[in-house]
Amino acid sequence: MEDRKVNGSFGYRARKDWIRNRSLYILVIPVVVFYFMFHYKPMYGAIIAFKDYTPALGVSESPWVGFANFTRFFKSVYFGRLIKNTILLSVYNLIFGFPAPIILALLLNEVRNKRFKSITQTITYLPHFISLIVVTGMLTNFSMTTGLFNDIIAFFGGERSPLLQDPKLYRTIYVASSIWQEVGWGSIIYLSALAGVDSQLYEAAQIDGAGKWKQLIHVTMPAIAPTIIIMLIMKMGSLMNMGYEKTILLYNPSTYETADIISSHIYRIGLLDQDWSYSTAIGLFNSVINFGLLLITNKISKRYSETSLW
Amino acid sequence: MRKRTLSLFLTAAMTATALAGCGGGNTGTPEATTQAQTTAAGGSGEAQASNGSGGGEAPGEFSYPMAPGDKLTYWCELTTTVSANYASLGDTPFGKGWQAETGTEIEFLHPPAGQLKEQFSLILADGNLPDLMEYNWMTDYPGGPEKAIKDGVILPLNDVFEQYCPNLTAYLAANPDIDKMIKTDEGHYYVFPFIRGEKKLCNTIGLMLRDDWLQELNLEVPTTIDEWHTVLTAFKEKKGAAAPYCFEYTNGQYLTNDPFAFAYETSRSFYLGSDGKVHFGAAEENYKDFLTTMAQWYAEGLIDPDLATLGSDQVSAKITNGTAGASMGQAGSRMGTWTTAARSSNPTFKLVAAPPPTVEKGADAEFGQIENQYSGRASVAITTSCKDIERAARLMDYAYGEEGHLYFNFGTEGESYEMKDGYPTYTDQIMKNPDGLPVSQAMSAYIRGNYNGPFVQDIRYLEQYYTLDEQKETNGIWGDSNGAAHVMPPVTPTSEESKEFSTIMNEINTYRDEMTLKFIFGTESLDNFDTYVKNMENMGLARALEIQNAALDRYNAR
Amino acid sequence: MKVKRSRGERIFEVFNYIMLTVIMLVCLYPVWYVCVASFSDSNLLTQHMGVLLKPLGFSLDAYKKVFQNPMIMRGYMNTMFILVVGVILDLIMTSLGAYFLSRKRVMFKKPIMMFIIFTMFFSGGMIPFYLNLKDLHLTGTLWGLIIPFMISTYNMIILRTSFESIPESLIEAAQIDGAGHMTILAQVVLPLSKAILAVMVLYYGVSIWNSWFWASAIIRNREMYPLQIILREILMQNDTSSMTAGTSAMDTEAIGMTIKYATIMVATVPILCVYPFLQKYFTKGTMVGAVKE
Repeated sequence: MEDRKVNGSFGYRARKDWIRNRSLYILVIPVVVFYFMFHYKPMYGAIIAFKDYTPALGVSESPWVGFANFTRFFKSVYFGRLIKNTILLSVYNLIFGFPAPIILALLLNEVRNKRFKSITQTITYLPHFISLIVVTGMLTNFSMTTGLFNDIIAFFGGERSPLLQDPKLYRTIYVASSIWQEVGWGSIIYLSALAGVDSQLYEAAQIDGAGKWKQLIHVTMPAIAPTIIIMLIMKMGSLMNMGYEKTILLYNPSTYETADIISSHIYRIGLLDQDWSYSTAIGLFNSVINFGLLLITNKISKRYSETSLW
Repeated sequence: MRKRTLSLFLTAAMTATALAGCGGGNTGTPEATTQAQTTAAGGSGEAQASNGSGGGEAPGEFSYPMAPGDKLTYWCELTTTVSANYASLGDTPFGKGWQAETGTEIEFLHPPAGQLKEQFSLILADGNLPDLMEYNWMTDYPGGPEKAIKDGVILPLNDVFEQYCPNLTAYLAANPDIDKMIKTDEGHYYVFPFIRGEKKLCNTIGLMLRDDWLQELNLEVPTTIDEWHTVLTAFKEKKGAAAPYCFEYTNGQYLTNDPFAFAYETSRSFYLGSDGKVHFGAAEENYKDFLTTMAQWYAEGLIDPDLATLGSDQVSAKITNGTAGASMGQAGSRMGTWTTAARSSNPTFKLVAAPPPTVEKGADAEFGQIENQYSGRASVAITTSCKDIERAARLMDYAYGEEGHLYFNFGTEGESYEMKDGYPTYTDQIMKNPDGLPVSQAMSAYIRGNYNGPFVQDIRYLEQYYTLDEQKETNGIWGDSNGAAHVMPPVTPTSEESKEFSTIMNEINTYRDEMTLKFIFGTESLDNFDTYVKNMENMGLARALEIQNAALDRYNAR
Repeated sequence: MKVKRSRGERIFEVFNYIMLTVIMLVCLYPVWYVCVASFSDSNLLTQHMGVLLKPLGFSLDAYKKVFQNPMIMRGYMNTMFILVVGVILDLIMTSLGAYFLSRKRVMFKKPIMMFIIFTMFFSGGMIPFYLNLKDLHLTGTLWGLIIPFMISTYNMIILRTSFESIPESLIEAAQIDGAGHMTILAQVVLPLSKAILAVMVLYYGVSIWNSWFWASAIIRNREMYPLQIILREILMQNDTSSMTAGTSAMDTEAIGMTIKYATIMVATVPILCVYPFLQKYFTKGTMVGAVKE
């Protein structure tokens, strides 16, 4: 069956498509309904960002306030700092967190000993299974002057200090622990991409006299590039999606300067004070920025690498 | 993964923030116990219709139990000493007995521990409320109780009290100062309150330090800032304590009641000045003096270097293993717990309460920790969703009668307590539980007197609860100040002002918390204190004070 | 085939093994710490600071206490229900979507793809999502933790990519035999995708096992709590007891650190045990090639 170009009007094509793919469309109905009910309906509910939502009145009856909730956020003394902190934390997370699983996958890929490889894999996945409260609890303990990290610093002749009270170190601790937790799990996807690389390509490269490094540049990387790019686009699109979960468990007033981000602000001031409209407004603002970032990255990627999300 | 898909909003937080609403409720007992109600102490107090007395418009002679009717839903936090053994308050002997005594079927709903505020927020957001909600309606409902009434969330209870609540009405008539506290400026009652019976018991937090170390070093219990400096230095140098003074900095309750700030006659938050006006301590010159001392102590290593991240786990560990020699906390959950834990390996371990410190030797402490008898917490409102208001009101009113008072504080006679010479004495079921439950858990199964709830707390619970001599002393030592004159009365802003007030204070508090630590750590020089004050003024501090002062005026005019 | 390796390669290999061993230790130690701590004597543990390599003393008390907690078993049951029913429904729904998106020559595929991907980056926020659940009567029931989370878009895209790699000829052959899409999905595509489905089971399973926020938001009956909420309550118990101030007193033992660690073990080990069964599929390399159309 040649995939030839179908001619004719939209209606004609739609009818033909329906005849051919009817059962396929029926199959996808539950999925579309699901997305409608659980993703698009709440988006409609987000109009409370433009209202002064009062439960007794309900979503539709609550009075409109226009952009008041947004301007309140823009005018907040913390606005600039929140944006800066959110972006910096995300960017660091991206710069250091994104390549880490790729490097781990590449290292693992070079291991010949199957047993060692599988043990390493299993163990590096472990942290992913540990819940965040436990992880942050351990971090707090380890960062204290008497904690493990300081034991290590002292061992190398450094001076003990309360690490989590230093705004300058906060991002390092945050990002490093995120890498620790997700590096193994994140490498799964690259490992499988690597496993899919045709081994003949390596053999050919070896015959051509290419060393390990050259093989990496000319065979491995091109093979897994599409996976990397897709992952990167998805990451970019969620750049501003720094969850508050970890932040509120890890920060304290002495590190607000670098630690406080949009989502923790939403949580602290919006949700706990039952200011539903305000918190929804900040969230919406965040979503819009995210989406913008996604569009830009996708466009760039499309132009330079032909890989894109759609 | 799922998380990513749903994006940050859905992800969610674990919040060690632990907003678990209820702060300290150590104790307390109704003055009324001694007054109006002690009549019952004489014994029995069982199933007599003692309550009928306070004549409402109840049809005929009302008596418990009520005739069967609709089930009521009751939302409240489940305290840890209950959740350790029971899935719901309804499963406890207390919950079962309460339903039987009042003839009301109750379905108890509980938020997960530490999720009180979040779940409250969500319950309110959907507008489908339980009949009865136990919460701090005074301070934790944004906008205060009057706004909650105006938002159509809870009912004003004036008529309800009059019609169905003879016990509470009688109690309030006998205690006009409390009556004043539990009303809004507009004169609305809004909750069935949790009341600490005696002023003496409103004092729960204070300083404590190692008595055995003091003896060994031949030092007295410190009473001034300078003496504290000497003692802490001695702890550090002679006893090798790496963190001589160490307390749970992450617990806001302790910060607000910092005895060293009190020594400088200030506090980090609002207080009532000697001029009768509301002040914001953290923006005043005294606060700078306090910070100067703290910064000096911190630099000298007298305060735990990890201060900002200290949770109760770490503090407990440091106190019990001798890394720290002084701390702050409650007599029960801190002093008692630590002493018991430490004595298993160090039999000489002893903590002693220190009085509120002062700057001048021999001066009377002007400030000190004390709570209002009505603090707002654990008080029950009837929501607008409630269908059978009479039933709900009668259920709640039970606790304020003689019988209910004994039931809430001591449980069931013959089971959890015995009357001995008119004194309700806990049985071995409580004090030496056959299943090996700790006293607090055994108590929580039968009573609410040892934590909080909608009733008047009885001092006689506490008299039996503290077992160590040093614990029993704490009330006298910690309470020795003029603190009551400076604690903010339960004022409520008007519903119009409340949003403005909370917006301003959210920003100011965040800023204050951040800067306080920076000043103490020395990362910000105290020379910048004026800039810090100026910044707070720019955030609208003057306006916030204006709102508070107006609320105070209205309160005084009640 | 055996190729002689250069000196540089051998040095790299040594470095590689060392590096990976270090990574392994770093990943393992905290888990080991929790495990060791859970078997330790609670008094010794409280007084200990610094590195812990083996249990301090040995005690099973913590575990006894954990299993005495009436909520733990109930939590297990609830979590198992959500897990089993949830994973099955998740797999069905995700397969349907992924299959549709993997078909070629479907006119409205692209708009539907956009419709779906949009949701990854744009959401209404927590409060609207919650109000929606309320509208749909999904609060106060375990179904509310299952149905709204049936499809993870991220997982669906991975699954779609895997479906796309199935040779078109197989599907066409089935079509010529007169099979409908449902039959093709069930009898051709899914059997060929066992490996990736195993991965999906793990992805969905772990996320269900560790999720707690929505449970804490919509479940008000403690009998319905999943395990994570109970874990969280126990972990936070010290914090809460300080909140209820002065209430729970002298119960040193009751809330020992060891209990926390034991609870972590109890709540983490079961999901760890699932992993080895599925691990063999991971190495087969059936996952994402590219997500490109």
